[in-house]
Amino acid sequence: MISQFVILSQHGDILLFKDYRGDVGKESPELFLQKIRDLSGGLAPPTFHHDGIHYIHVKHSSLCFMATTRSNVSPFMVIELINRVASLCKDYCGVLSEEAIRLNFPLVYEILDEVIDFGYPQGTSTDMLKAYMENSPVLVREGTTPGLFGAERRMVPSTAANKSIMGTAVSQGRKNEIFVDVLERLTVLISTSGSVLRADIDGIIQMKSFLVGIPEIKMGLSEDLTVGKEDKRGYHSHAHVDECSFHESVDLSEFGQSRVLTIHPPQGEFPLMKYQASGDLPSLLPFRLFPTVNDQDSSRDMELVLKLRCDVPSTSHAVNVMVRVPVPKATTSVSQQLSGPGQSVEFKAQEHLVVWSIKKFPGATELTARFKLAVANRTPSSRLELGPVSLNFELPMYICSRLQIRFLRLFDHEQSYVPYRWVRYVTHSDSYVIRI
Amino acid sequence: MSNGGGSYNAQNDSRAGSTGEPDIGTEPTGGFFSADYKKHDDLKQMLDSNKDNLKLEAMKRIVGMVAKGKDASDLFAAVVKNVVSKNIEVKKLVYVYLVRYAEEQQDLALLSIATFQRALKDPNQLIRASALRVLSSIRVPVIVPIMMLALKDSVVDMSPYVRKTAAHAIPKLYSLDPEQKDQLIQVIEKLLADKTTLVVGSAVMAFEELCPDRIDLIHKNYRKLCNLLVDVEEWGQVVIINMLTRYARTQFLDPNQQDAVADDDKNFYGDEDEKDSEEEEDDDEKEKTPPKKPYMMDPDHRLLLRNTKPLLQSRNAAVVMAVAQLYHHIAPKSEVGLVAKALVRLLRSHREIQHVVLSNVATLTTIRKVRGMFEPYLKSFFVRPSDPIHVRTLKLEILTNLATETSISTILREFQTYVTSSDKDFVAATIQAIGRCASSISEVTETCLNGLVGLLSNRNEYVVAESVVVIKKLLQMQPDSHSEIIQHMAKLADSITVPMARASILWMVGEYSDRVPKIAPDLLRKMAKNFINEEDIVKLQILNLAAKLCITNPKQTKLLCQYVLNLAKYDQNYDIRDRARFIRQLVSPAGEKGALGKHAKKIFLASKPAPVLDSSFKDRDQWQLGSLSHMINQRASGYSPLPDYPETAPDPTVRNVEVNPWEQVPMPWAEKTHKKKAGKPKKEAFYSDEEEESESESDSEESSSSSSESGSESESDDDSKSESGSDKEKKSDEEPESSSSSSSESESSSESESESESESEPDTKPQKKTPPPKTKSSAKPKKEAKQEVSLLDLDVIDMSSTSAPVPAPASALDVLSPSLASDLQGLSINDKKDTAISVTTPMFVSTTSHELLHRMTGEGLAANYRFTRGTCIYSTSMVPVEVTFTNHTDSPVCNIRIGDKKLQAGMTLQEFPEIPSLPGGGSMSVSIGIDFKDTIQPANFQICTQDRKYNVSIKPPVGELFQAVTMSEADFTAQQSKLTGMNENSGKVSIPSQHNNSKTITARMSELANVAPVSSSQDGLYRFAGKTVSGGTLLLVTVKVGEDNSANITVNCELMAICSMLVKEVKQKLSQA
Repeated sequence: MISQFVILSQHGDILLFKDYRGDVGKESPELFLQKIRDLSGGLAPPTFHHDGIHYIHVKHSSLCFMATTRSNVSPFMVIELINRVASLCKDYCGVLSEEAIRLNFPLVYEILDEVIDFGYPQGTSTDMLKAYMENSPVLVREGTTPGLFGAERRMVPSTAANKSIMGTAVSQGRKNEIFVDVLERLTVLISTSGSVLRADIDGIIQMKSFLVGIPEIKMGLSEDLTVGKEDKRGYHSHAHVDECSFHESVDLSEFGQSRVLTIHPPQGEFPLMKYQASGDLPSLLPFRLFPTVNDQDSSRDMELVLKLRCDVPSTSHAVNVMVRVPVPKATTSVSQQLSGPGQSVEFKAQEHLVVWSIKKFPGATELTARFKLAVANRTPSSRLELGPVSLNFELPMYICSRLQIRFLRLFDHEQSYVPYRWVRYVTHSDSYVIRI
Repeated sequence: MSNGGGSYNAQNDSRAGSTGEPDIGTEPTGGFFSADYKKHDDLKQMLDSNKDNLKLEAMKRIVGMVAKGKDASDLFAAVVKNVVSKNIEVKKLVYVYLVRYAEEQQDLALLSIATFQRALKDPNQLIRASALRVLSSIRVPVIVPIMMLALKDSVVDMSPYVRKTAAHAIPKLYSLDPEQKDQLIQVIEKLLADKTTLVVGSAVMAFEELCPDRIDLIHKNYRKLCNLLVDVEEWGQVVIINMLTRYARTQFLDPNQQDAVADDDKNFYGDEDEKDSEEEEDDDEKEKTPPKKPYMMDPDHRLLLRNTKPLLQSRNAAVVMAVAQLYHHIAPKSEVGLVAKALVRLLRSHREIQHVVLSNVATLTTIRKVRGMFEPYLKSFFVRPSDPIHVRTLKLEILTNLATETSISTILREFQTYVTSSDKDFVAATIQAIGRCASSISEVTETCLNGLVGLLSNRNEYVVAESVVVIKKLLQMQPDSHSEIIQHMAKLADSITVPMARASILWMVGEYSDRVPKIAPDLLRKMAKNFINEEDIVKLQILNLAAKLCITNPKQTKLLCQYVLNLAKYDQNYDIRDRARFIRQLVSPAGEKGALGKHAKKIFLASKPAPVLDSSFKDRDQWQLGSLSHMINQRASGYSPLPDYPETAPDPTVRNVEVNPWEQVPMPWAEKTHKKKAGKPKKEAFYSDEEEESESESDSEESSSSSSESGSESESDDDSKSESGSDKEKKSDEEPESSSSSSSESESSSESESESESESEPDTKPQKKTPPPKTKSSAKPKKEAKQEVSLLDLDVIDMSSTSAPVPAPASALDVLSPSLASDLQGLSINDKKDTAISVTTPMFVSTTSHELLHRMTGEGLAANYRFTRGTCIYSTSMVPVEVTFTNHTDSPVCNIRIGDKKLQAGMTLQEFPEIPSLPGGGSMSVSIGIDFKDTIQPANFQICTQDRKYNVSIKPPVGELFQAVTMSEADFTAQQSKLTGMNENSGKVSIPSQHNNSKTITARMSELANVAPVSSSQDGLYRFAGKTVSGGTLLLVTVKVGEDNSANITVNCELMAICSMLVKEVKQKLSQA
């Protein structure tokens, strides 16, 4: 039973305000913002309370969704509900951005009206809701927003999928299109000695369907895919996941034998399959780092050499690689020596951080960076303040679990149309940390 | 259901109409926000225009203003008259606006009520539902009675969606007028009995808001709720699970009683630590009476646990958490373990969810008994650099709680790396966590201390300060064994520069100077030498040290102390000067010993209590897990603590659902749809209309002569005259209008036909429209739908013709109040009228099921069926059959469906949707519908799985071909007199004397066949009525018990075969011993 639902912009403007129960004052967004600012720079816990009102908020691609309540509801329910509303907004407006919300006030307001009744959640499925929605969306013109397909992490410059599911044939020249994204997020922790302490893959196959009707889709995954934690995996590297879960629209009857999924996709975006793998990954880790620290007492400077190797096949490449090295607090300046063009180094004195960024990093190559850190009044403990190094990167068309989509076929008995099918693979770093 | 489908199409039509209009929605409205719109004149003009696209544009702007929180209330009058717009898009926006502003402009809002009332009778379920939703959202106290009526109507609506909306309306109505509580609880009771998954979730929401303590309402529905749970939509699941947790706590015994006792014994020998952590819980449990008999879990308790378990896989985090808390609170400890995996899985979702999950896990890990289940997932709680600080601290908390002798080394290694983090707060928290690990696990205390001492050389003063504080705490707990650490720290005083750390060391040396008797004076000497260069906090601690040493070891340090005090006397800082003065007076008073000096030792060297290093989540398990109160660790309003288990189990039979006498929910919708389906002969339409007027709703007379019928008819007519009279009066003169304006109404053909028939009836007099909305909301929706249209249109014409909207509200109010009175009247009359024949819910629903497919034949797949006696969801002429598939194998069976059907001519079978996969050991129920065409011919069909086909057949017992109906005694005799001769069959039987009572006979009859008892004025005369499901043929059973336990059985039914079979079966049943 939530009392109010508010959507706030990045800067704290109220984009949308809906009151459901009238038991919380209208000034609640201001109070909320004030609280948020008081609490350490945007890192406030998702729930807090003030003066008998509970504020629960979730951030979604630069927008802040906030709900207030006075009663004892399950915080999970509210957070989950907020997430659902956010994904509904995305489905209906095409993208989730301040501009999209501004342009689609009536639509979003209507969604909020349908989804939540007197503070109680009703149906939240995109398909079901479509029957009740009357407003048509205003599309955000391309180019006005950066590619925001998916959550904030996935920065693939493609706006192809940023469409509303409400679009009509007349207004859009709408095509039968289906987008499939295989996204993996890597969590890796490598110890000082170079051994892998932890390697987790968090994968998701995301489907966004603009197909007319609900045709049957058959999707074939890698035939050698193994599921489960059995130890007898052998040494040859085949696709493997520890556990996976599927969306309710998936029929798994052929999955056991031929790894084929039969799908009746609802319209809009939905997670088709989520999977996790940990421990020994079937493929090499995409990056290895060989650090050398030259820390002699005689010199005032500390020398740090980072040799970074990209272990993906030479056909692939990593983009937007960022290596962040925490340096001792007393570091006053940094000078560097880089091995090639397309790289840059920034020293953030405030955060005691050296950031080495590489625009494009081809597979099976190696880059070296040499840093000289000028550290004022150095002590032996300065060395301890170095590291751990963390990497951020994006690997298009490369997947660490080796999961592949073999084919994607559509079966529709009535219409013989040729749908456009798009498949994409992306690996992201969630947390890729190397201790030095 | 089938009717719902029909009306849905209708809605599509009307939408198609709206999209046919110029689509303005794609035009950006953005420019407007910068424009000057202070005057809303342009908007008003647009709203007044008769072009839909202009109106739409205006409404979009207005809703945009509403959404931004800008005031748009002065447009109310202009907006509200558009509520009648035919354009659904406009209409919805008007609804949105109305809900927002109705409370502020109550008078004007009343103008719109009539529209909603009309929409409530719309054939389209979506329109009915949205009207109900908006009506109930308008917070205007005057309309409470109208809302109540609408609610009561909607609760028995045929569309589950409308009923769901009705459930949602209950809390709204309650908040508007709490005095309606009792009535609303009755409504909730009805909704709880609903068998549709869509409805029960919302019904339980309403239950939780209004009367969470009325646990008695749940009893009868408990098993149904458990069984439906998997299919309920996710939000409903959350609410139901939370409610059932509470229910289980009040109704079932503690499954862990015996464990508790066993643990008590164990504690006796167990080590100290364990005992501490457990003592509180065990105390609680000890107070309870020791179990007298071995604990047996109530099957219902088991049912709940079993049915919630699959929901741990839900993709909704709220559902997973709800199940987790259910298991935590009511499952035997041995089974709680399986929630760990699900909770850990939740960690991978959104950051916000992560935070909430972690805080719940943190609480769980403070409870020693369940801690073990998270141990395999230790690594999942390792901190990632990307975690925000609140998540980090929670993870630390969990890691600390999980630390055991075996895992501590891993955890400490992990902690070591955290200490190097650049986040100060996090480092401090980590060091504290290390301290807690050290204090809880004695094996590693030493290691931790050494590690912490190592940290003292850290450059980061927070690390050092925190380390010293933690070391101090650890030493305070066991100072005896650690003089060497104190020594070591005293040595460190030379090298450490961080003032805070130096101060801490000095404090510690002073406090435990007896452990380091040689070093302490030396340290003081060194410090005294450098006194003037020290920081203020260090100076203060030097003073403290000097004072303490002076008391314990005056011989060596007296002079040093004097020296330090003298130095301090001339310090720049007044705090230090003050402290020096104070100490001097205590330690070495100038003159005679002061009164305080005697106590100097007590003052300075009092033993300080050791700090307690405890989890901050320790006290959180008092809250129900997963609740907001738990999250914020304080009572949220509306929180009620989980009750303790009862000492003795309450009567478990209350949950049996065999006899539910209150459940006389009339289901008029079933009757109506049936009529349409049955294709009633045209020539009898006149009578059926007549009947509809009087709300009798029977269609049994279609088979018989009408002479006796009309008698009963006129009787009921008299009853209803008071309320329905006025309807009739107006109908004739408003008819033309209604037909012209009914474009948006798309009623099914038979409906509209009967409608026009009734309207063409000779009426009393053409009456002028004096009190127009008088009958607006009298209880019977269908026949007034038309009339509402016309009424409203008149209203609107009135309104739009007056250019100034001011006079309108007054008149609206005037008109409205009398209607309320008549509404209430109508209601009370309606309640009394029971003369009609109407379908009711069955008296008895058998739980025994028949075998459809044996598991041997089905190679592990077994199927059973049972007759649920409800209304079939597929068609009202079908007998609903519930088929339960059970997979006895280990591997899943896929693609279970119905294959070829070999049915008798005319029979139809509605298949269930294919079951994609039935996991090994799992079972699943589906419902199918079979139209047996009132014969007992078996329905033969095939059940197919992925690779096999099995031939099966369902043969209905004769009693299952019926549907219970209620009718008055007079009706019964009237109908019976029509069914004589060939249609009557009778027999004689002797009833065993112990069973010769009304209760047994009624029970046995309703067990045998789906019939309802008819009240009887005669003793020893029992009457039952039913009608066949497919054809709607009336069935009348009379059992007349004579003197000597012999009984005459008479069955009247047009279908002779059924007649004779039933007599045979009744004889058999009643003569059973």
